[in-house]
Amino acid sequence: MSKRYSALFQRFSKHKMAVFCLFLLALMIIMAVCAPLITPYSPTKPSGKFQMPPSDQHLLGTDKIGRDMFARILYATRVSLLVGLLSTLIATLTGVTLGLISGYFGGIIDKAIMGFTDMVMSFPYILLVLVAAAIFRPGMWSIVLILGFVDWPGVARLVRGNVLSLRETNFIKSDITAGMPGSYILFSEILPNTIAPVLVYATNVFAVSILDEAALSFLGMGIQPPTPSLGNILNGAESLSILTGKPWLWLPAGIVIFLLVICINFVGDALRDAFDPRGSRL
Amino acid sequence: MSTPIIEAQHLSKTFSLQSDHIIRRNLFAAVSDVSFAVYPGETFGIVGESGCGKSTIAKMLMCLESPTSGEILFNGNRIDNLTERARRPIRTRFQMVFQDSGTTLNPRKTIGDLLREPMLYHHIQTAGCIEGRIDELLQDVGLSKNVKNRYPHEFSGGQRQRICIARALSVNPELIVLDEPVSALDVSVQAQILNLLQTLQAKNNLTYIFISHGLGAVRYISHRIAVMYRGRFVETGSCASLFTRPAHPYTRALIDAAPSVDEAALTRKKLLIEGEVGDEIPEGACPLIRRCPLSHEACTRFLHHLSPIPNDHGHESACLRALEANHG
Repeated sequence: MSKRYSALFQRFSKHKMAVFCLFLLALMIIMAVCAPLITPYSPTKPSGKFQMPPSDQHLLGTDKIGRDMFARILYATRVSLLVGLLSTLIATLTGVTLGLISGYFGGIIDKAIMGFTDMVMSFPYILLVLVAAAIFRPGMWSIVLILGFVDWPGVARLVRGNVLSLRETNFIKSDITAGMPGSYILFSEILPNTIAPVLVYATNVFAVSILDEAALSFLGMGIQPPTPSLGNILNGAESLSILTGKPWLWLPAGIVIFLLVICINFVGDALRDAFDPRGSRL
Repeated sequence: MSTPIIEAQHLSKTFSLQSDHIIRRNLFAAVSDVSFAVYPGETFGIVGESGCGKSTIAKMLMCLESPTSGEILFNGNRIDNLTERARRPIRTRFQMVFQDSGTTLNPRKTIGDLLREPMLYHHIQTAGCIEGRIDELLQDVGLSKNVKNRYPHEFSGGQRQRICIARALSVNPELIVLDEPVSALDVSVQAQILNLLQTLQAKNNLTYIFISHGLGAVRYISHRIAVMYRGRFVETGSCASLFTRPAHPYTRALIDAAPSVDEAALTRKKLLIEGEVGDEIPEGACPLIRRCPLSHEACTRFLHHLSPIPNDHGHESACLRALEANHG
């Protein structure tokens, strides 16, 4: 197996931008995870004067009630990454399970699952999220569940398509003729051959989830203050005077969202090319 | 005569070209009313051009497709109407080797894994002696035992076909269906694989059903041959009688169309057929009617079934003018 992985890594590292993005992403994740070690300030308690511009003491200044912005950004990144990761996990697990069942068993089960998938996909996305956020008590877990719910149909369709095409391959047929049981064919043959495209798709879902969380929190339906999230930090930038006069209150959060999403997308692109040995795109 | 190892009775398969799941319209008969029996130890060749239904027969025999009508008997017991679960234990007794060896092996598994898994699942070998058996299998198909940790894409087409054969052999089958096993290979490699198949047949007491569009390979390896055209058997017979005394214009045309450097064959008058396989044919007529130089009025009304040729044991033809076919 190691030979496979080294070839994979080689193809991945051809994308210089993706390697750089991977390092940047790793740095941001480490900083977010180790937030208490990096900053002495609390993200929720005031530690200085109101709306101070960046200084030696407060690297990114303070917000309207005197909380350290750098600490808030660090902890907010933590929340955003966690929400993104958990909702991607839920979406991927649900999608893979339903896609496998749908593609493998076919028939009426397939019709029912795909019908439900199309239904979920045809909901107006942001409206659904808003309504759901309004019905359930807003908070981190409801956001994770909502985003997980709206993101799985893409994964399910991808997996189903893959299963359908794999089922027609000779190596599945040769397993059937060898008398191997359905569980073996499903989990030892079909699933491993589906992991690569799912992983690539999942990076995309991850990026979209972070954006959606930011959008929801910006609208006040997401992570509730005082817990910081990248979205509700931006929420503080609704007034014109802050937008024009106090950029340290919103610019850093915007930049972090931008960097997270673009880095994840670059890594996803490189992964897709790395998994496909035939694609020799330069 | 002993009981056939596998027997097909009036096997038919129709595909619906328009799939709307409710009414089956625009039916296409891939295989119509094919019956044959294969006896232990022999090699039964099926030859015919692309799209004539050879592979559909193979898939039905392997229970990968269920026949639209007809029965398949394995050692006298019906296998086509069993559930997959009930069929699984006897699956090991008939195996298949596919044409495209590149897609028959899971690209993510090592050769060792590919050979190991079916044996472990069917408890054919105990964990202790399985590695020895894998080495033996690889040796039997002419590969060295240190290929176990390598992946399918590291091998050439011929080597991969050897691996496929080893995998088919690993579960100790009685019958192997070979669906165009050498068609994708170089001629020199084809000969090696054919010889290997013959050696293995003698060593393991195997019965083969050998499917090919190449007359040469079928002639080389088969004891008995069936010639297929548009989903039907048009002629069956022993290898020798079929090639020396073809009793169907289509067989004759196939033989004559093969390039040859033989002096006698070059000077002999050739029987050639014209037109395309897809030409429309009238209901109830001989399938070859539009292309056959021997066809006459009776051929339009009378769909002839295989019937014995006088004074030629085991040789059957579906042509009204069977005796003229060889001289025509």
